[in-house]
Amino acid sequence: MTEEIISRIIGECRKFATNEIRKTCLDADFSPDADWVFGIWKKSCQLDLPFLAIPENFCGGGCTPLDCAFILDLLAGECAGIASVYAHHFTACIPLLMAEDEHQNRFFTKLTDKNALPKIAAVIFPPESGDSSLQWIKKNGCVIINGTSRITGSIDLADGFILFLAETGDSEKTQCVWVDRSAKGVTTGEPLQLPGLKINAFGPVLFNDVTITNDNIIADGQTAEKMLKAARSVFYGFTAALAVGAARRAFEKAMDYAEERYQFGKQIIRHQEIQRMLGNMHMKLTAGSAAYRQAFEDQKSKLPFLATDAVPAKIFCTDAAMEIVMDAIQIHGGYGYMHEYGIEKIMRDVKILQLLGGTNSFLAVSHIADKI
Amino acid sequence: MTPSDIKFGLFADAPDLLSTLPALGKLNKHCPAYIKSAENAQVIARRFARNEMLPKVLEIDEKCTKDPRYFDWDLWKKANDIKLNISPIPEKMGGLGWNALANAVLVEELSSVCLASASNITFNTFGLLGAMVECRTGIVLKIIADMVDAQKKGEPLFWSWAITEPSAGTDMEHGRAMATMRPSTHAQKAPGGYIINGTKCFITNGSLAHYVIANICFDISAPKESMATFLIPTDTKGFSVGTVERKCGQKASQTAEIIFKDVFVPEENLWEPPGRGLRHTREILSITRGFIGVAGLGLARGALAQAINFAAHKKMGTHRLIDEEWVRFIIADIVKEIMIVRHACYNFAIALDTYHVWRMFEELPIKTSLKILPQNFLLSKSLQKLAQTKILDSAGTFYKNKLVSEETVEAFVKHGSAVKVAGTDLAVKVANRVADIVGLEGMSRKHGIEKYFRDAKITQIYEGTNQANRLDLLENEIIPLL
Ligand SMILES: Cc1cc2nc3c(=O)[nH]c(=O)nc-3n(C[C@H](O)[C@H](O)[C@H](O)COP(=O)(O)OP(=O)(O)OC[C@H]3O[C@@H](n4cnc5c(N)ncnc54)[C@H](O)[C@@H]3O)c2cc1C
Repeated sequence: MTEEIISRIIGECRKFATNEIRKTCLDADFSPDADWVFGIWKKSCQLDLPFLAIPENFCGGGCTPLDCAFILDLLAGECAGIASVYAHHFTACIPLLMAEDEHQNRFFTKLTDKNALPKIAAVIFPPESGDSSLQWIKKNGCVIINGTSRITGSIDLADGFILFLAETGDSEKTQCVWVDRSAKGVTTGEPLQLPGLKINAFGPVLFNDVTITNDNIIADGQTAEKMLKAARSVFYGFTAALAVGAARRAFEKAMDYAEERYQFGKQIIRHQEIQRMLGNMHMKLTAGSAAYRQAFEDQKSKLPFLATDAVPAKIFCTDAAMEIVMDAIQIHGGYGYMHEYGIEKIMRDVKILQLLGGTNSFLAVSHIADKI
Repeated sequence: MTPSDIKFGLFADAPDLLSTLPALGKLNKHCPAYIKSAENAQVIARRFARNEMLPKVLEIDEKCTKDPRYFDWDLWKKANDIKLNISPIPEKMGGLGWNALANAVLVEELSSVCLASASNITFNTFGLLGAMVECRTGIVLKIIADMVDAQKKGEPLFWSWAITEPSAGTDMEHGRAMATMRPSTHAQKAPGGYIINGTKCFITNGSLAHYVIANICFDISAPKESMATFLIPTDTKGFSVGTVERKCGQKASQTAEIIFKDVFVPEENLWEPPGRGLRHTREILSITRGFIGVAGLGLARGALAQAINFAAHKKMGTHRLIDEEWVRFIIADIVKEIMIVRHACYNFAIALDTYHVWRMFEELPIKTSLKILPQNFLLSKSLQKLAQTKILDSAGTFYKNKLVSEETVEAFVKHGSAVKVAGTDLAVKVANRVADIVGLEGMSRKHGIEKYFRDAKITQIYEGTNQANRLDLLENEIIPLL
């Protein structure tokens, strides 16, 4: 895909995000509503937004993960909550991109079926701590799953999940399967009540003798393990992009407000301390954008998306985003703490991004420990 | 929120003031009664926080999310029953007679469970604090009598302190800034009193207050020179409440816009004349800023206690989350910072007792009066009337000004600002770092840890933003030396 097409897509997505998400996302944050998400999702299908990560020969957008990250960045500028639903969905496409033709055909056709929209997918990763509470056995070519998955996003929204089953230290056993939300034995548990990304409910998915038939087994062994690594890495990169997008919006709001607001008889942007804060915010934003781009650099057009390790980008971008948003609230004074100004929501959203896929300190530790 | 079986902070056996702040030992040797009263406060406050607040605060927070005007009278009444909301009033007059040290203990303990509920209970002393600035004997006695009377009847008597205006936050707290502000509220002389028009915003308890202590200027082109302080009963015609704000956190404490439309205020309710309004604000800030630091400290301690509780019970295969070395190092670092800030906070509280208004209760004339006069008389209308006579009324002012000089006030703005920034930056930092330990699961509402995170941010904004506090610190400590 040419740069020109990408920038056209980005332009359209930006317009879409401003027109469709900006006005209503504060209400949706206040009273989360799946129908609101479905409504936006359906409209976004007109732009092929949900299909961007799917190859062109399957009627998708053929975007690289980096392109998708740009889109997520700008969506998160309006609402990181809804953007995170797309992030899960795009991540679910990653293993499929690495799958056999037959599986690609099956699942991409399913995800792009315009007669059965919205079709939202999400990913269930094994717990980062390696301590799974899912048991599974292989029987007559089927996989039978029991137990409870760790915390998953989009549980109230997804039509199906890419599920990774893994055992620590034994990559031969890794499985990548597709689970329909409506499959027999699949239920979702009580969602966590998190302070941010509120329109995207996170919670457990429960499996009770769920039988995955052969055609829903996407890969096993080393192939599945590669898919897992790629999906995880891309998800960290996407999380970084979401954080940067959310923080960019906070920064822009703070710049605008600092020009509007007068204290001490001058615009507060004329106080050097405010300039210092804004300068630091800008520095972090620039570094954050570069960090997630870099994480995707090797993945631009090649498959599989293995080479990069996006953990440092996830840690850096989400922590930097939190610092930026905190300062943006501070610059708004009391107004920043009020719901209607939309900045405190960004802070709550970014808090969840910091914790997604493992807390940042945990990831810093395990990222090195894994290399030993 | 669930109680923790790990005896840290709120869950430790009280009193532990001397063991956790060993430097108090020296003071304990020389003034054992002083430390004893703070220990007593700690026992009472910790019990209340643990038994009455802990089980309820999440539910209250949720109700306030749905309706920002929801107020939990049940919890308030329980605090009122044991006089926590009138704690600084002398015991002889019906209060608890708690000094600044004991009140710091109270704020720390209650804030370690819920910052907002803590302020509903402890900020009510604004009334007394405001009156003690000018310290006219008649007014102070009347306010004490009214507060004690309301407490006895179990009826609320709420005070708000209204300085912020839509276009002037920092501008209302700082001299240089005030000179340039764009007032949206102003007063005008009228026969027998004053007429007030305009709007104040972000006023804590503005929607519940019976009285508002407000700083309002007479001449909008010379706000600093004409800034005055008024006492305004909220049942006065023309007073109304605008929006009650939806906030990120601190939800159980209402934040309201208040509107004055031709509000008439009688002559005697002018507490500080034009030109003295800023001075009034500065004196209140010289006390309250330090207490916000203490509240931040309490919040940090509470967030850590909950995170420790979570991490000690969260299984990770064969071990607990708290057994992870990285978790232990983060906790150690937080404990270190809490210890340091806590020492600074209590140092400030003891200094308040030594040099600020609290020392009045230690002075012979007042001490003796409290000792020999019967309670009925101390709270009586006849004493209030007597005290309103010119000589007695101004005697209070004179005496207080002798004890608490201008220099003392500015020195305490400086120290209070340092403690405020230290305590509130700590609150935000700890609320963030514990999230990094407990992760998504631990940040689910039921554990209460996410509430600390939402609440913490306000502490860096109100009572002067932390930037405004840094300015005050600098301008009182270094600039005069240049
Ligand atoms: C929950 C809540 C409760 C409150 N309760 C009360 C109350 O009971 N009574 C009351 O009167 N007010 C109350 N307030 C208001 C509060 O005191 C103000 O919000 C605060 O003083 C900041 O003012 P502002 O919001 O107008 O910010 P501004 O003063 O407009 O400041 C905006 C930004 O500019 C910065 N800034 C300003 N001047 C400078 C400078 N010279 N150098 C560097 N930076 C500068 C500030 O630090 C801030 O970051 C409350 C606010 C909240 C949110």
